[in-house]
Amino acid sequence: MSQAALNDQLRSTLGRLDAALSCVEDALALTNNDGIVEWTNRAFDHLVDRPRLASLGRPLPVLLPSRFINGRPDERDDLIARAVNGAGCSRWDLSSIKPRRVLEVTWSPVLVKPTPSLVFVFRDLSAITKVQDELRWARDNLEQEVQSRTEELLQARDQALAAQGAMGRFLANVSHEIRTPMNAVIGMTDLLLGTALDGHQSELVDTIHTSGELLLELINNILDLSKIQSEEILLSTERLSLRSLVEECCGMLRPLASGKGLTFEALVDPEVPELILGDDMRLRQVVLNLLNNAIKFTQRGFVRLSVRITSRPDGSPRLEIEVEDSGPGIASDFLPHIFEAYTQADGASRQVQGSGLGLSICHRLCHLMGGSIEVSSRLGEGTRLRVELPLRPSLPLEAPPKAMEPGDGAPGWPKGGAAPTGGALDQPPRILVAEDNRINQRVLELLLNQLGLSADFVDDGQAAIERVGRGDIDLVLMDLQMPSIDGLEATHSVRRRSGPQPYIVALTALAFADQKQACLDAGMNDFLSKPVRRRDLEATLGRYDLWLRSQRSGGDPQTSSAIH
Amino acid sequence: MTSETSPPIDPQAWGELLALGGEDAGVMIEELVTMYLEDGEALLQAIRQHQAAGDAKALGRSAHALRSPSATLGALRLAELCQQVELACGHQPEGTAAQIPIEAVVKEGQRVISALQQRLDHP
Repeated sequence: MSQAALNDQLRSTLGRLDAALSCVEDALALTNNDGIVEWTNRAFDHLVDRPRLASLGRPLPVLLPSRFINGRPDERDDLIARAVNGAGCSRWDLSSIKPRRVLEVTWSPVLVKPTPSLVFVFRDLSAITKVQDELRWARDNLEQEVQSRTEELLQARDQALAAQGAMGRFLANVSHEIRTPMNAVIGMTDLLLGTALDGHQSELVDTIHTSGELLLELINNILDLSKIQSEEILLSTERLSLRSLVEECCGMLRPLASGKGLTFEALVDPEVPELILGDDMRLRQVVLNLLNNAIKFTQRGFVRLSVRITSRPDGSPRLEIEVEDSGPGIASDFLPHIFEAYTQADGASRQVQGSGLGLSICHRLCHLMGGSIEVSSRLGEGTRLRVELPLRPSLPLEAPPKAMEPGDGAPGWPKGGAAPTGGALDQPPRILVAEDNRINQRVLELLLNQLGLSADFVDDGQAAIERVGRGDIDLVLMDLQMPSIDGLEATHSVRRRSGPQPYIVALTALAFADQKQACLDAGMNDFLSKPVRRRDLEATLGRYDLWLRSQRSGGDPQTSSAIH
Repeated sequence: MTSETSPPIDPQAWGELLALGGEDAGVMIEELVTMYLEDGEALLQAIRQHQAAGDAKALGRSAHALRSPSATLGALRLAELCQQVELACGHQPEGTAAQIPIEAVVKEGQRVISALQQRLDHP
């Protein structure tokens, strides 16, 4: 090829390379080995903000924008020296303040004969850097945001709880203020009714009296529900006569029923035990509520109360209280809401006055007692409400004489046959007594012997823990105040272990309320005051018996602690 | 609540103790009272010593150890006095037990021991 043709080709190639490199986004600069600029592309001209001609022949470092390091100007001027030494790259901050402008610089010597030269490539990373920075900030802040959001929620929740608590306390405080004048109104109208009134006046006073009673009932219900809802109701455990309770409730409401011309029946099955353990007041409340409702809503026909024993599929006995009426019944779309507070079926509220709270209270109380309440009803076919409660028969105070025959052992766990109470365990419990005083130990031993029982004795908490650890103790009488490891600590220890858990009764000479709470918190089941009396020990063993049977028939969380 | 004029052994509590023994009450009483007399003397001694030494913790323990069986045997006044000492020891900084009054406990303790000794000798 001739020289002219070669030159043409060269010129053409150079032109095309120049054009190509000028399309590239990255800024390029070619310099000689001393860093004097010999060629630039369009992006470079843009970067340094001057036309190519103004860059050619100038030292490269002079043209470049000033850079910063850690927010302060970077005065280093070793770019060319480094480039001569070999390929490399660096990142420069072109701005000391936000927004960040980052330039990536790559360089390389060009070892082409005869003259070495240098090439520099500049890439703007500002956009990517900005995004990266934002991501990092968002990530760091997310945790903080979540935490502050959680705190806000917790605060809101606590405020809501406090408000609820405040309302409950307000209602409790105000209840006396409300009830007193109400009682006065009712009382005064009673007195008025006893004076000489003409027919018209009598009617008026009657209305005042009825309204007063309704109002009082309403107030009581609201206060009760608030107490139940804030879970301040504690059930007591006492002996009560179911038959007497039923008779008294019926006595109170029979006049109301006959006044409306309704037939009123109460049937208690003979196999229902005479004495049971429970909360007399609350049980009475449930029965009265159900009967009252039935009578209120029934205009003709009957109201029937039945009390019987049923058994669960696993064989455990339950107490069933059923109230049936021949009233208008309940619509099927309302049935699911019947136990909700402050609701009454449409149409019913106009005919019958009430607060819509009675059944809701019943429902809560039944559940508190470890039972349930069900409704079955159809419009026009009457209503049936069925309460099912755990059966807790009470041991009588004195065992019937026939169990005291010599050689027969003692009441509770006689050596042969069923116990007179009609619900004995098959074998006596294995008892451990943890008590550090030898006299008290001896007395307990004598007491237990009288009841036909025997026990192992230890005199400190550590020994108690170890003995229980062997896994063959059913019932522990645990003195609270023992040296070194005391009763509470030993109980904590026993409860923490895996394996079968014994029933633990606290023995203590002091009986303050906060001590009872500490016992409950430690996981103790019951409480005996020292010096121990025989009847208290019997009652405790009776409660243990019931607990054991409810455990065996599937466990009933409500009865797991006898401390109320 | 007992007072200075309460008898050393509460008759009702003693009655319950007897009922516990049933037919063998005599034997049981003898056994329990003998145990108590042994322990009681030793504990009263310990109470004096710990108080003199200013050891509040040990004094409290001894008072507690005396209270429990005393109540069981019907010595309710003594039990109450022991409880007072026990509670006082709980609030006492170490080394200051010397200030806790134990004369009442010691005196009542002696009364109880005499009364029980009598019942032992003349059941």
